[in-house]
Amino acid sequence: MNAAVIAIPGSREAKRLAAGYGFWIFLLSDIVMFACFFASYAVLVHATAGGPDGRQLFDLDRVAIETACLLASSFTCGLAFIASDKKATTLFYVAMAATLALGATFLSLEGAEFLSMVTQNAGPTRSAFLSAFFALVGCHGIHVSIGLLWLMTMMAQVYAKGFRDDILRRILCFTLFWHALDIIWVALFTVVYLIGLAP
Amino acid sequence: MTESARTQHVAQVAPGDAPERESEAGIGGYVIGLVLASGLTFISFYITRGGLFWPPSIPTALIVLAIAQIGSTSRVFPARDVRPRQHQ
Repeated sequence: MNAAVIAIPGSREAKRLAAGYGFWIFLLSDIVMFACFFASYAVLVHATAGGPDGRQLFDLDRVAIETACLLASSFTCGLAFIASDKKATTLFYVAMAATLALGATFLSLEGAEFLSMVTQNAGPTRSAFLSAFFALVGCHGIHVSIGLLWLMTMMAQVYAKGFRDDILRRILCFTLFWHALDIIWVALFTVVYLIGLAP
Repeated sequence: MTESARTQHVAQVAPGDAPERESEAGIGGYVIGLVLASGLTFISFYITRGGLFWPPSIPTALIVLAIAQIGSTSRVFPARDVRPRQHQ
């Protein structure tokens, strides 16, 4: 039976619930913002102004590696969350460092893609399609960059302050943020790259 | 909810008290999520390369697969933990 469970106001459980719930509201607003970028991309995807389209620009192998990095980083981030929950310091640092490495690999691949597109005269100013592409994919990339800064901050805070209750709440929010980025990437590689390259 | 269930719970979690945790519930679910999401993602990339599906059906198949991937990725969401814990 699902017995009703009450968190006592002011208890650490109530604070954890409030932090998680509040952060969900932020995440949903972020997803609404991404939905707008997706909508503009869908509208502008054929507006290439005589320039290159996705079929000429996208590299499926690179996207596959990027996807593998983010998927694996979502798993290691989950491990870090479990480690923080159990106050397993070494596992926490190892899992966070793995998440950092995978996220940085993802970003460097995305940076290489953007650079090669810009040098092929396919930068964001070339066509409406490319403006929408750089806005959508770049917005996700900026989120990942901020996520990596946050990740390093959390490692430093655990190092300096330990698994205090407020630090654990921040780790919960960070983990939610990182998983949400992974979910947005699923929509992104499907809509932009896979459908763009499908026969 | 019965009054006794409420009383019982309140009695077990004092303010500031470390709640007891259901142990080892996490990692198994995370691994299932990772395996499911990886498999579905592989299928997405595989059918994009063509030859397996009737081409006009591929975008729809990709969207269905994406929704399934989001569902299986969500297995690793600590979201499942964002609720009051039940204490036995």
